[in-house]
Amino acid sequence: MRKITIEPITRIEGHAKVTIRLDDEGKVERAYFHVTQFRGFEKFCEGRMYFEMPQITPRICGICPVSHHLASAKACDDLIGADPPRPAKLLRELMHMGQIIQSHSLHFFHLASPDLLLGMDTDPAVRNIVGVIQTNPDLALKGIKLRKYGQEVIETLGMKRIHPIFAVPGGVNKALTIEERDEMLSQLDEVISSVQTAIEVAKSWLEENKETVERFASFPTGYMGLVKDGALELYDGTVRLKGKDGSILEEFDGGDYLDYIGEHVEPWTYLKFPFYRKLGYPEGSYRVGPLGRLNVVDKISTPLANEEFKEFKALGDGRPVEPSLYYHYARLIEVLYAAERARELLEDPDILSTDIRAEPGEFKGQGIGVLEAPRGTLFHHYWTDEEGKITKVNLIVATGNNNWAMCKSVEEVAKLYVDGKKLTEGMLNRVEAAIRCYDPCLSCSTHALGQMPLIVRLVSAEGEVLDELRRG
Amino acid sequence: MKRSLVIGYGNPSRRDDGVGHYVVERLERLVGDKVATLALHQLGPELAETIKDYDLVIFVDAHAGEYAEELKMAPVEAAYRPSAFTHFMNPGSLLALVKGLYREEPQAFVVSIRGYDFDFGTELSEETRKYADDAIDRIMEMVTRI
Repeated sequence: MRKITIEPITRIEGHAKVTIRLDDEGKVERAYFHVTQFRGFEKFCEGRMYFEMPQITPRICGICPVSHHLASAKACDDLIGADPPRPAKLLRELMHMGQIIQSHSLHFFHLASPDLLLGMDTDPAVRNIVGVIQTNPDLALKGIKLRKYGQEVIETLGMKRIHPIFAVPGGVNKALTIEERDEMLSQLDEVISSVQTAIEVAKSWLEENKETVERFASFPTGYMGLVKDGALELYDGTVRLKGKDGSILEEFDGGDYLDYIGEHVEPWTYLKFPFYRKLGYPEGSYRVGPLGRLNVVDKISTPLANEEFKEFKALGDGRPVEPSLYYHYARLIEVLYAAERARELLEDPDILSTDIRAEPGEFKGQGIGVLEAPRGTLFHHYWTDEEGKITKVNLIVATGNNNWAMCKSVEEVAKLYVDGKKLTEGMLNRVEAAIRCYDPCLSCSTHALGQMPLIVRLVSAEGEVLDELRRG
Repeated sequence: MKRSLVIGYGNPSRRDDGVGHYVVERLERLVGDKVATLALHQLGPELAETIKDYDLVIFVDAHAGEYAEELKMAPVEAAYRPSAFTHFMNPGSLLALVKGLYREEPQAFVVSIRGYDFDFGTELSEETRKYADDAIDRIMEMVTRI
């Protein structure tokens, strides 16, 4: 038996290793998606005061710090029994919409579009964002401006675009001025127009390559996401779980997540495998993030995004949309929703209110905050002593929820495209492209240590290293 | 008048990984608004729009021993290198975006400082702090010369 390893995945956050196990005839038998970096963040937080957590936890990640910042603040609200005033909730949600816009835009234009627009068999020296700039500079520029808009929303509210100082237990620490509101509003027409252009590009590619798309990393799973009155909800809603056939299995308050979500551990990866308890592991595995969310909801509350949602829904013909490449379409629909929702928030008179923080109520000793990060449902759960010092932390990060699905995607694609007797860049890149659908974030906590050389190992079934290649 | 931008990047909660932030914060105290500065977790493609307006850009980060020098200072050319770790977009790739999108080619240097301790925490190790202080002196000379 031979094993081909592709490591790391290009163009996703953090580090990952893919191991493809072949049988003696060179056919793919099994594939693994490994996370090789130890996080240790939960232990690091023990002993800190709860009110430090909204500042500490964003440092888990450089791409989605706002998600951790807001989920942490929500956990602290719960811990101290402080329900933020409505203006504070609107402001937090506004920051969250900025986050969705910048993160999703970064992924589509910088990470996914080279494959879609230039072709997976194109020379890697060209199949990147510079290649996109050369073939479609207008689209590339739109992508950069979209990300910049999202970053500026975050920076306006939180004083910094990375690791903002904004959400605090019970509310936020800064009100929005009229000038800031008007500046954000003034750019939204262009933002929405740019997203619509990107959606047309994605739809065209998906339609032209429908046959490939339908069989690429396509398999039944459960799905999970937040809803509010059945509609897409990214900041504050109830958790809905759907089964493989699209039926609703559960709808529950995020604070009860431990009754419904378990975590399975495998010895070959540091990333755990969350699953729906009643079905066990792996039968209870589910997908989150854009595809997961749009498979869970009944509608989207904003008009333009809802029209796109109807088209998306029709792809499943009455069932959930399963092919993983539709994550890219769903992701752009969410950018459109986030832009429309940002406009609603900015036009709400309460967004300018200075009533932005509530007093603590009953101290509970533990608190849970849940929201939809760009990559999926994010849980922050803190336990403290009577003084508010953290004694235990449990984080279920968005990417973790997709762990099983990412492994399955690699395996399904590898079976279709990897032939142990013949290796091409295009074949290997398709396996990586399956992972990129999920836009995983695998702990980009450290800049310097992340610059590790690439190691590819060929290992026999007995564990003997037959060959090793290094690059970088 | 020519304009300079110093970008320090890394995670300030991972000790020496935050040396870029330390350098930028010290520079701000020394030179005020004579030099533009940014402290970031990582470089992103949207920075291309910011960088295009500057004549000199200096990137400051930590390295974990991949360079022989404890304090490495070198010019950077615009050259996109597909990176295995996207969020580690390197300065050369960012400059390639500036050139491709905006037809601008600012003069650019990388200042990479040896890190020894990347554990959770906010303080720099003694050795890294020493090299960071050297780096600040040399950056001050560069921005003064332009």
